[in-house]
Amino acid sequence: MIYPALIAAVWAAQVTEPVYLRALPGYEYAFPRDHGAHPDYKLEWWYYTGHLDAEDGRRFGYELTFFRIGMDSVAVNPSAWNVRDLHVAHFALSEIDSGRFRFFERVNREGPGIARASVDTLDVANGSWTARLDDDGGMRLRAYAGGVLLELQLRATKPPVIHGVDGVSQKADGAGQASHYYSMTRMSTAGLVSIDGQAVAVTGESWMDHEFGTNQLADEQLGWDWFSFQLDNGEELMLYQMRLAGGGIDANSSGTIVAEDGAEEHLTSGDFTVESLRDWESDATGAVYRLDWIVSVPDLDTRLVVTPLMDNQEMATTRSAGFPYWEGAVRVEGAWRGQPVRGRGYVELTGYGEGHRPDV
Amino acid sequence: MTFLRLFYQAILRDLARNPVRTLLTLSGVALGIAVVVAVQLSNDRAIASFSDSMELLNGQADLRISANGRPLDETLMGELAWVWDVGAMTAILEGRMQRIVPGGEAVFGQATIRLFGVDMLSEAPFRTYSTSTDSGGRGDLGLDIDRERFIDLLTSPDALLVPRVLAEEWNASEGDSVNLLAGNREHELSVLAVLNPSGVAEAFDGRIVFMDIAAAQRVMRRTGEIDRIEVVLDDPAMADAVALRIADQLPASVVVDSPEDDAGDAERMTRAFRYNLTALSYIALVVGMILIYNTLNIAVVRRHGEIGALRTLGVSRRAIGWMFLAEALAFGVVGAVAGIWIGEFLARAAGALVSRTLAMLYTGMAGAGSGSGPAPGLYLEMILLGGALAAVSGAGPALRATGVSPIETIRSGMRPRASSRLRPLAGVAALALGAALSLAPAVDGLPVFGYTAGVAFIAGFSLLSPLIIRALTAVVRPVIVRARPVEGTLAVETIQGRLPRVAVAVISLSIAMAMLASMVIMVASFRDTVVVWVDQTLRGDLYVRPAASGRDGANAVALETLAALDGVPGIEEIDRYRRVDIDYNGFPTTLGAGQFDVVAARAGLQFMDGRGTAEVARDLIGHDRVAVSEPFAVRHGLGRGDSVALPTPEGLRPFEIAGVFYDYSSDGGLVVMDRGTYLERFADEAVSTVAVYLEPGSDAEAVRREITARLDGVRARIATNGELREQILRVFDQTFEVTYALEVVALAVAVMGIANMLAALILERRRELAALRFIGASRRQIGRIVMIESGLVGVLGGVIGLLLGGVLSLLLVYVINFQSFGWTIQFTVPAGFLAQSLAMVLIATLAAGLYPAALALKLDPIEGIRAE
Repeated sequence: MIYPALIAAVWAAQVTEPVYLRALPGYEYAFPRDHGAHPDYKLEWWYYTGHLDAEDGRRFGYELTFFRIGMDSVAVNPSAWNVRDLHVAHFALSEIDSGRFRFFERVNREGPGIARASVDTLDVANGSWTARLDDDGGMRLRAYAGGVLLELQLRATKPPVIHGVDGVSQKADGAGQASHYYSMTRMSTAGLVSIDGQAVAVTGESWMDHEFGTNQLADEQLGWDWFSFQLDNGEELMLYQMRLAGGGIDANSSGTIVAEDGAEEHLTSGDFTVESLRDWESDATGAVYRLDWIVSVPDLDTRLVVTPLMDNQEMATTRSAGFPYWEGAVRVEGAWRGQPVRGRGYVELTGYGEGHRPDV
Repeated sequence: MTFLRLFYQAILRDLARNPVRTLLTLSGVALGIAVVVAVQLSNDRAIASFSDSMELLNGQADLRISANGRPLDETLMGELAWVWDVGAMTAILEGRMQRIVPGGEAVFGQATIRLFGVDMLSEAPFRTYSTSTDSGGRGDLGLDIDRERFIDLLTSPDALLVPRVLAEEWNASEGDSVNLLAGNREHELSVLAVLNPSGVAEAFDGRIVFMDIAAAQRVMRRTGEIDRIEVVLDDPAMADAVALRIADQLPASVVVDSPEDDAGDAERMTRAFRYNLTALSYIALVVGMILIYNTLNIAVVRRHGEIGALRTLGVSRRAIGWMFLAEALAFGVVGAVAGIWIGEFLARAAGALVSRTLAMLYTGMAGAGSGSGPAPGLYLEMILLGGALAAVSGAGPALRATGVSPIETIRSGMRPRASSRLRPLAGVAALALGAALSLAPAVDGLPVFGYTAGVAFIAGFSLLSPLIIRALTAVVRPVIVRARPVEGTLAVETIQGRLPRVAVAVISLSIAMAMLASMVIMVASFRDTVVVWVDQTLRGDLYVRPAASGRDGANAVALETLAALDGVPGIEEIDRYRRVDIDYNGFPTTLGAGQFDVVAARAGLQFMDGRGTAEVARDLIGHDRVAVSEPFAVRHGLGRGDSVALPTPEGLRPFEIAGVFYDYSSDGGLVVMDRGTYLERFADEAVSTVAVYLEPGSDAEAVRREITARLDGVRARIATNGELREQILRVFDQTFEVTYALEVVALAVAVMGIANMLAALILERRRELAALRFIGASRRQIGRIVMIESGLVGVLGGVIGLLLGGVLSLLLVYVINFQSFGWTIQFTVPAGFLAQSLAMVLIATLAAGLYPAALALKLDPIEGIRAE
């Protein structure tokens, strides 16, 4: 579950009852339609993260994300340039061996073919960055910016996992303070990464989040910490914690365990704890993030030590976001249901630093 | 005695002792330089202001994709998605607007305001905007307004960004609404933010507003269209490769080029106009040169004795020569420095004129362009120019001074010079050279030989002028003597006795007069030609256009307006005319399409081969044929039967030239075809202007009212034939305002020369005049003598000027204008206007005589005689 970087005023301006649908219980998912866009909801994103191993032994982490943000605009104008939605995209590559982190962003309108998000199937694009569903059910990602090319084919090894309860992932108290949220938790990945014209074949595993809703974050919430782990025992774990202004964690925080066969198990906030161990200050934004975590699920005799593969994985976005966030590749080590386990994952930290609260 | 001391004692002190003459000469030189500077600055600024504006608007763009004057299909953006891999891409939609009071009409002559529609989300790599109220925006979207207003800008259908100068002119601040005419409609738009005068907000002197492209499409009613796509490349070195790949992918009608070409376009379009103006400005300088020559000549002659004395004291010939040359140089350099300042001042006034004229004729851009002061280079250039010309003008007198021998201390007056016998021969030779040069063709589109011929004619007349003066004086002598036996005889004899010196004054006056006369004749001929052309061509009773449209004709008449014309009682026929700007061989050219069945029966294009419009129309209708205007044919060296390749949506397509017609609407060139051919080949149904022909006996006003009444919410500009004609002539007249202003300055310089010369004459004849007084002449008689002398100089200068002017006007009409612009002009002589000019010159010279006359009156007879 990942929240996009958004434009505050969209919400500030929204004094009347939203014209958008809210995420309410009872939503019926249907694929591949639900891979497509849901423009009746204000906010939507397609989030891809993953770990890649290159032929030559190098390791990469990547993030490719497409956001669609409804602009509350009444369509009086027949122009194709009319801004109904804002399309934002983020692309990042972590070069684990060199510690170099590169990120890029795009802010566009749909316009006459500049960005798109099909309502029928997975077909989102922003400029030349795309994510599409192939005829054979695989997903194809492509992004190029600043000399970095990513071309990947993703093949799901498990069916979509729907988070939350009754099709709703609650984020704060109150009906509709929620989103519809599902993940493709383990997708075998192959393709190529090219940096400054030097292409290398890569294989690995990806995770996809797709989430849509209208009004999620409550006033007293500062931000969130989100975790996704792919363990070597074939299981996955997703957790999020909504951090409150006075310290403490919102009771609406939750998580999901995905078994090897794809069966899902919902975790409520009381089921798990996350302890963060050290400060890391960003040179770019001055924000102080908390890195190195211990994730515990006491009832399941589970304790995971989570370590970033490199510290600087901050999306210090300036244009679209209005707030930077940390989105990084991590490694996982510890005990899972009493058994030793290893794994890889991605962690997202938002709302760290003055004025960096995501207004979603 | 060192040279400097000699220079001080012999020259500077003398100059200081004659402050009025020194000042007159200096002002003459300064004004001459000033005119050159003013014209150069105005020209440069007008062009710089246009190219700066284009540069500001083009921003950082490396490539530009357009469809040669036609709109581009916006879906090309999607087809070119790969371009995002190599850089950033954005789309532009442009339009023209006019500010009106709610419900009001645009005023004729009121400058249009550019509308620049951009994708505000993609602007950052291309252009930056800075708002007056910095409200904490981050500037990361190319615009430093806060997010709330940024979202308003994106989503509101009527949000405007307005440069501060324009906001001030409109007396509008943020949040205010303004009424603007755009295309066929009136819009009430709101000022979302006021832009600081930096970056794009400075383009076109701030006479530009910015909107998000979505709102711009709505306002311009151009949904689905854009004017161009711009690309900023990550690596500009890839420009050629990317351009090639884009061009490969898109239809042949799409042009991929670099925005750097714009400045070149403006330069090329206006080149002939600017060169002509510059050539004209040099006339004032020539007059200034003659003034220096005149002053020095007088000084040398007047101080013959003094020079002789210096020579006896051992000053070398060489030193004497250098001394006078230094005086000339001093005049040139000091005059040049003063001239630059005056020129800078004049440029502010003339700049507006030049810029407006260029705007009307070529760039469609208003505003003088504040511009910076004169570049340091200009100072150096003008000082060198002033010095060089002064040295040339001073060389003769200086040489003469070296010829004064030490013994010659007593004799005064001019000795006849041996060379003067050769002068008439040289004069005839110069005229013959001029005649020969006028037959030479243009060089690179510029009438270089024509200008040279003009110089040759001026030289010829100057050399022959003593002869002409002698002849003319002999003719007028009896008349003057009969009117005023005493004063007349004395005055005429003074002129005849001091012919060489008088001749110089007469020449400078006649050159100025000739320039005025030739311009008057040329403009009058041109105007008459245009009037006849308008009569023959503009035969519609009413002309219907969008309420606000730019030169480009991108704005089309609304379909509602076309529908409203249907069935209006009194309308017999209409001609739907389309015009678009295209590029032909690097020259902006107008492509027009009219209904030639209607044109043939109604309006008469005048074809150069004498065929009637109906006959040519038969060749045009149903064929890939065009008729081209004379300037187009001349510029591109094409004629009937040749083929022109025009950029159709399917790529370049050859069209055969069926005829060449006279046209004075633009020197850029006009290519017209039948509307049927245009619809078939260009697939563009838009109409730029409708010419309405009424049934005999119907009332144009009534029909106009009826059409207006039928326009429901749509706005159109409907002009009667008379109104349109008046507009055309008004534009024509405004075009020549600059020219006249220049002429008047040249004339002022010449008049100064006359005052200067006459004053010198008086001073020299101080003793003679004193003697006259002593033997009983009244003060009044002395004054009269001087005034008759001035009048005579005026008449001589005027008449010779008219003769020379006649020759020059032929040169202007048949050589310079034709070679510069490709216009055939019917020669007419505006006798009345010329007579007026002559009278004006006479009055001016008489006025110039007032100062020397006053000088003569002040002479004390006793004082004067004492010296004797």
